[in-house]
Amino acid sequence: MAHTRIIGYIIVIGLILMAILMDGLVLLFVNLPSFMIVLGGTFAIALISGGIFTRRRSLESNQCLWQNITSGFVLTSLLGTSSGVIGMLFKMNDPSQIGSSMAFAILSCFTGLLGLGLISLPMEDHYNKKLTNYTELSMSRIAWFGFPILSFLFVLSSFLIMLTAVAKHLAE
Amino acid sequence: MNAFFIAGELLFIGLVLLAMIIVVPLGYFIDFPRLFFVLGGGFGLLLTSFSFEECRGAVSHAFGGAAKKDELRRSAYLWECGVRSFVLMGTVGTVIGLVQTLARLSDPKQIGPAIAVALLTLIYGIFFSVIFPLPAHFMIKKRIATKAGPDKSERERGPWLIQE
Repeated sequence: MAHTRIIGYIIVIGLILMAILMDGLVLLFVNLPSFMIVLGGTFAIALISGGIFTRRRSLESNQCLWQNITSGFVLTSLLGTSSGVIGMLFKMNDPSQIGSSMAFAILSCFTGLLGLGLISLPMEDHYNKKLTNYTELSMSRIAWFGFPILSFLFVLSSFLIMLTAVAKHLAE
Repeated sequence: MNAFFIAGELLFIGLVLLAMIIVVPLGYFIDFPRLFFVLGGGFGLLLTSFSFEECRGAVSHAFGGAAKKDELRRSAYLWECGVRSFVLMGTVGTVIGLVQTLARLSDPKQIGPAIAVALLTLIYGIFFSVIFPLPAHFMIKKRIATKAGPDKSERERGPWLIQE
């Protein structure tokens, strides 16, 4: 089990790194505010829901904790993406100002997706498989399918805003 | 593997390809690095949660291999995770592609093709998740329901991706 987990991590991280390095622009993917809102916000949500720093933990509480972290990743990255889109909408008249909020919008979405796929979902699966009471409809279960689609819509809308701004700028 | 499965798969692939050919040339939809990214990444994400034996067992359970009810439940869960991981990998590829277009904004002519290629990974992700994991999930759920009959607690929880 542990071996296949390591193989899976190597495959996924290697492919993502390859896709990033193919263009040679690594610095585009580093954005401190988006890391702050997604990783920090998720940690804060996990703190609020409790169960991180307690000594003795049962399997059920661990499962609950990782489900909360999944929901936290989804909600914080949607928060970051939508606030970035709002920032873009307010600065639409000047295309040169759009860049920072657009990077914030897209990269908070990216960070949320990576945290979801690489950290919280494998752990959640680990406890779900041990406990086998996973047929109930939990909040994190809805997020599996809804979140990629929603974040994709947000990112695409941010691109449309950018394109209209640039087109308007070119027409003037 | 029954006849309905093969007929449905062929119908789905044929209709999708036909619709693509009618609207745009098929060559726009073929990009091998991104195909490899989505296929390998989706399978890799599946491997972070399940072992090889469980994957092999889930394939055989979908086509009628003998199993206990617990194993069937685990396989249904595995295929649900398969749908999830392919869609997630497609979205990750799209976001990476969109970020890389940000570097080319100075040349408006390059923006369109770059975004189009970025969207390809999402298409691949949805295609691969619909083509095998989703029907396999349905088949195993149906086996669970017909094997012992849905128990009361399962009915109360409500259908999620399953209609009795």
